[in-house]
Amino acid sequence: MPKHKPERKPKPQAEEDSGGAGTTNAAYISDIAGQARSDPGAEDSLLAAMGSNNSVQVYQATTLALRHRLEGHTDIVSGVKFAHTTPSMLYSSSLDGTIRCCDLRVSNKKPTLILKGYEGDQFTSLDVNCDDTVVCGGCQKRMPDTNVTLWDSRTGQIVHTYPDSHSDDITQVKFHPSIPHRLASGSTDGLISIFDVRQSDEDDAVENVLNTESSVSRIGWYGPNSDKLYCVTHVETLQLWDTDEADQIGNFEDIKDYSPKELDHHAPVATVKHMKDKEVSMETDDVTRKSGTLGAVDYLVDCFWDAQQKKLLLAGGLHSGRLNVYKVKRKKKTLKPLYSLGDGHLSTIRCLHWQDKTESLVTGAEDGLLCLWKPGVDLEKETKDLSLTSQAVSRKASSSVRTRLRLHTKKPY
Amino acid sequence: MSKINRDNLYESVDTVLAFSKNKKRKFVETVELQIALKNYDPQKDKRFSGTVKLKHTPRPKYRVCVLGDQQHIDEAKANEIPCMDVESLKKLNKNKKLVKKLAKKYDAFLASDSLIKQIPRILGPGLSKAGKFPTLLTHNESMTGKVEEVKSTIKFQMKKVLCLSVAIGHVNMSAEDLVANVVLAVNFLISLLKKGWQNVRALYIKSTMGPSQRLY
Repeated sequence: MPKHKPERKPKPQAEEDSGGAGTTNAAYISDIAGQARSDPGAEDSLLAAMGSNNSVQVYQATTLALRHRLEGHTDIVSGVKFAHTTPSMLYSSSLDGTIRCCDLRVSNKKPTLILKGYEGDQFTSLDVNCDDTVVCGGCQKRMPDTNVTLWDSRTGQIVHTYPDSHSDDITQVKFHPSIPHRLASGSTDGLISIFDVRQSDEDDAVENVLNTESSVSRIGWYGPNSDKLYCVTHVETLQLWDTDEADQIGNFEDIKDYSPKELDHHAPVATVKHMKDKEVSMETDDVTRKSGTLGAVDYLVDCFWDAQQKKLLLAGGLHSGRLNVYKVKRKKKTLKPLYSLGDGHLSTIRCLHWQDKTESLVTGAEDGLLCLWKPGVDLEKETKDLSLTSQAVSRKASSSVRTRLRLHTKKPY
Repeated sequence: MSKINRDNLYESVDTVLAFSKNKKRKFVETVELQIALKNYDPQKDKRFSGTVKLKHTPRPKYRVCVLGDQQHIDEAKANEIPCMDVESLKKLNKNKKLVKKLAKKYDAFLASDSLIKQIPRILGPGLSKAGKFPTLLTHNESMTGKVEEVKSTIKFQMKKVLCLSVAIGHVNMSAEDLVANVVLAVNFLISLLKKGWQNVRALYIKSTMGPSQRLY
């Protein structure tokens, strides 16, 4: 009899878990990765999106047609990344403590490699360096260490681990797009560390530490030589850093408008969201006036580097599902509204992926939708519309929605 | 702040202060704000973490050390702020124990721009590990002002449980200052939530040893 008891206990818990997932509706899409170049022979490159339902889905990049569905992780998938030299290899990291590598050309989708970190490590982020030799996984804090672990992608063995550079959960690890040994890691402790991953001793490996004094949500290399880093924080600010000099070269703090109305004690009872909506639709004058501070966005999604136009673009959104895209003008310290994308998502947008080749943007949101946007060629015109009325923009932008697709069904599989 | 009545807020703050006056402790009690969330999944939803700068310093005993160049060292000495120069940092010789000891001695560090870039090389990752990597101090800003700023900036982070607490003051502060800090912190935190007040289950304030007072 006593033997049965421990077996019973986990069962109700598991049921509760699945019940919880059901009540929160569709799975969120939390990140998207694209192939750097398409497979030889394939007519279209692929996209991978991962959600909170422990699976990774692979889509055709221009049509968003579902190509593959990868399962096997036993907890939330936290990162996906295609290899660069063999683009059919897809890596995925998960809170279940593994990083799996699948070859999409193989039909049974069994992982060709499973990387494991130290006992108890849960991976929150993943990246593969530009020559595919090193895989890096960032971990959740686990007393006393927070590991950044590196593997040799051929053998699957751990090369080095840097346990001391962060004091809290790692949120992102990003290899430099062209220098294979440069790695940046961002964490909720507010630091971005830049490593030379050839060094095994952590003391020598840390090249620079950038203190954002906040909590790092997303980071990325940008610039013509990819020598700068952008950083989006969890309190919805954007910082720009020069990585060679370790200097902060830009800081945009007032992107999200903390409306003074909310600070007033005597304001009428209204929900925050309600007031925000009003600001968008009614006070368009206000929006244009504050275009230096951007008017109202509820949160920031991410930045992306438009390599053809050599511009850094910032995307922010409203919880209603609208996405506003701004050009970051570092020297003038302003953000210039470019276009606004509406009528696609129904909820908070969590991630985006910019495709340079087709100049299109893919976004994923908490409603479980994946949207592909092809901004109109006439961007200037749309910018003007933004200052007229938001209604006009939404109609305008809706014509630019190419494809919209529900990624995950409501039912947990 | 529309959800919290100003009078009720004052009343709660007064109750907290009165309780601590009636039963004096041998230390200055901290006043903290506790927030319980609902309709929020810490694994799926966007992380709820960051820093917020309050109007009034919540931690008077917060020890800040300046790691400065010559000019900053002189300024720190004039203002009686603890300080260290490059040479004394180099003497630690990257010794893990000594760096740890240094990190333990202070709550936060400021560093001059010429120095902050050398910190990883001089000290290794010890300060990062302790969560005390220095904040940049430039020559354009006043040192005492920056120290105050660091003292008034509080960190918050939601972990796996749906509640968090932040220190927003201490019992020797006036009710007005406490209320101002509560208002600022609550507004800031709630504006970061997807559904605003609809994500809030409850708000409490309490002093370290006193009972909690429900605000919302």
